[in-house]
Amino acid sequence: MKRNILGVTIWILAFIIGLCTSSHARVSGVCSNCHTMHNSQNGQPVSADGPNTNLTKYDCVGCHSSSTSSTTYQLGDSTVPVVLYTGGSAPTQYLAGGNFWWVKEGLGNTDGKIGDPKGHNVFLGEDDDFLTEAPGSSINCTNSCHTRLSEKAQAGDPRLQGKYGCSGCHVFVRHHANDHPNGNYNNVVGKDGGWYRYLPSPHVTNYGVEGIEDSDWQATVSASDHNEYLGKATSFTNSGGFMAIGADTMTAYCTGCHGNFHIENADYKGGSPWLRHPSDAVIPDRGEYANYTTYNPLAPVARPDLSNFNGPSATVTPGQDMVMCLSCHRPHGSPYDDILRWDYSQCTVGNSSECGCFICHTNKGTYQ
Amino acid sequence: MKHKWLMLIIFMALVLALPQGSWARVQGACSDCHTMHNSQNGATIYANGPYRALTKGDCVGCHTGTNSGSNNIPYVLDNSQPNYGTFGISGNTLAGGNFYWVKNGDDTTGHNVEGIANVDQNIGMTPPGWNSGFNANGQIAPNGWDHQLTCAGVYGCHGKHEEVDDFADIRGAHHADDSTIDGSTVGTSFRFLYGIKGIEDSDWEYQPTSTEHNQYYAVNRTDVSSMPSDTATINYLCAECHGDFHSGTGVSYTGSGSPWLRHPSDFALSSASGAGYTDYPGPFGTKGTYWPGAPLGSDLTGGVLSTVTFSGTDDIVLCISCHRAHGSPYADLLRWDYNNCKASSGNGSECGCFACHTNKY
Repeated sequence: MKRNILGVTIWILAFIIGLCTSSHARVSGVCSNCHTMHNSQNGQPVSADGPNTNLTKYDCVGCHSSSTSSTTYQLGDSTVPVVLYTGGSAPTQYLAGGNFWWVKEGLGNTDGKIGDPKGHNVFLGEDDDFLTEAPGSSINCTNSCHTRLSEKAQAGDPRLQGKYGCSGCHVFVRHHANDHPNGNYNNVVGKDGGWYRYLPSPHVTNYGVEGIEDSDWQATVSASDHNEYLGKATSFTNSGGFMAIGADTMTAYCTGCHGNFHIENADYKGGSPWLRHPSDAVIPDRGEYANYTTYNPLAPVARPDLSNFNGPSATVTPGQDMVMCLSCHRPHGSPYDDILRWDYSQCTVGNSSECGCFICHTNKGTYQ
Repeated sequence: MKHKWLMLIIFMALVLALPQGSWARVQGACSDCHTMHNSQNGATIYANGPYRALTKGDCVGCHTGTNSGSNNIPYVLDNSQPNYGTFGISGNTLAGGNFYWVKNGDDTTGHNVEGIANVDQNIGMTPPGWNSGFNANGQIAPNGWDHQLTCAGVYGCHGKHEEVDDFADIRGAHHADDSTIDGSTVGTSFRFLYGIKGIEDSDWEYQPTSTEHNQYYAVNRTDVSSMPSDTATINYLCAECHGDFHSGTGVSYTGSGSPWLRHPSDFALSSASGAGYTDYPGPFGTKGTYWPGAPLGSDLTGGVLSTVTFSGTDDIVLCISCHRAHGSPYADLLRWDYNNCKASSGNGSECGCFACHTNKY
């Protein structure tokens, strides 16, 4: 009896402590950290370029940038993820999506060109000097939605009109959505929570990216501490997108702009020979691929079903888990061309190196 | 002889049968406010007098004291710290708040009115958001703000803005027949705010409730980027000094997402596209119950409302939904302490923002 009471008491206390612990869920903290009602304080504007939409003190980059941290910083009592480090030298740490430092003109993109391949070109007017549209674009619209993130969209849909940059991907952002009820950050974030990392389908209301959000955006990361992504293996002869894939996967989102890169095989079921690198394709449970069994956050995988996940898993199950776009790329920016997660020039067959390709292609080289 | 007494009795009966307050706004003994010669028992009664209109002092001379709920004169300044409470509806301050805190040195807590406080050291004399175009009820500061804010007058809130002298500007208002508040004169305007309509609570919102409170006139606008067409709203009163916060391209924009650049006013909760606004007052009461801590405006057709139906005519956000016109204990003249406004805290009971933003705490 005493043991039972003690056990229940411990459980209750743990639950309460868990609730109180900051979990970096939907935005928290004093409202004035982010908002100004009239863009006026002591007779002066709060935002020199303002007022800003949603009565914010700063625009997206204004809040999500820092000159002192490349991962997170404290804005009052709110913890803010950093996607643009504005310090003078390249950051050595960055969050799951990477960092825009390398693609930003005036920072890593020193001549306006060298950094263009190292990130999505989201800054207004800072067009990619090598691309005129999204690589692999399968969309025939004449507006700029699927061409350049650095230009404001001229969209037929009024909800999308004028969007660019951050809001070109994070189209509808819901900072106050209750994405982690009761402070639970091992849950799958979907529509009710504003979608995983605010990535709804721009066009179809009931689609968006689902996933488990790491509580500190992978500022700290390990095999057992990371985001979890959803994937679904479907036909490899179509251009992807939410409607074709029919699921709320990360790959479905990427292929909204890079659709031709989802046309990966002449056989809709896939299989050798591939025409393009597979995405949302099951990692085979045979051959070299069967050796990828311990999660490596450098080459994340997508899961076929997150409903039974109680949080991030350190296990990769070939034959079930999938390679996806983000297995190799970072969506914001990286030190490497093609926004790769590693230096492709280090990928020499037969060598041991920091080449993430070898995490899956285990008999082509050794990742170390 | 008998006829004379009969006539006198009839005359007195007629006088007593007249509705209370129909002859004069102010109530009570004349000596509450006036002194004929500023002299009593051979001594001066009020220092620095005599004062205009034979009063005991200037505006604050009469309107200084501690509200009890039974006073005939509304006190907007207290010589000792008032009991404000968390939201100013349970203590002894009135609808406009109290100048106590700005008088005692905190410029952020009240309007810096001449004779009460010094010029605001942070802002100076020009009101934030100043736009001289909001002049439908008289031109305030026609030559710019080279004069400190006054209670009434050309540089004041009350009155017709025709006289620099605030006494002269509200002349006749106190004793006007205010049985109908239509904005046509100073005396028949809501709280002597010329041109402004509203229903006045009989005790100036001393400890208001959902059934006993001012009812502010406001309208729901579909276009806030242009100059307002209805200049009788309480929000227009604020706009006469803070116009850029009320209307214009700096308040809203046309494009994707939320149109708001600054906090809306003269805009209905039911017109907002986001969720949660029609759950007003959120943590402060049953949905749809008027909460005087964060008042809403209406078209006045329903009189003093205890229920908000979110019809677009009774659920209108006001400047004074969040601010106190005279002063409060809190920065920016807010009705509550903004430091208590914490998103995702699970506790909304100490922040009035959550009366409308019901899903943010």
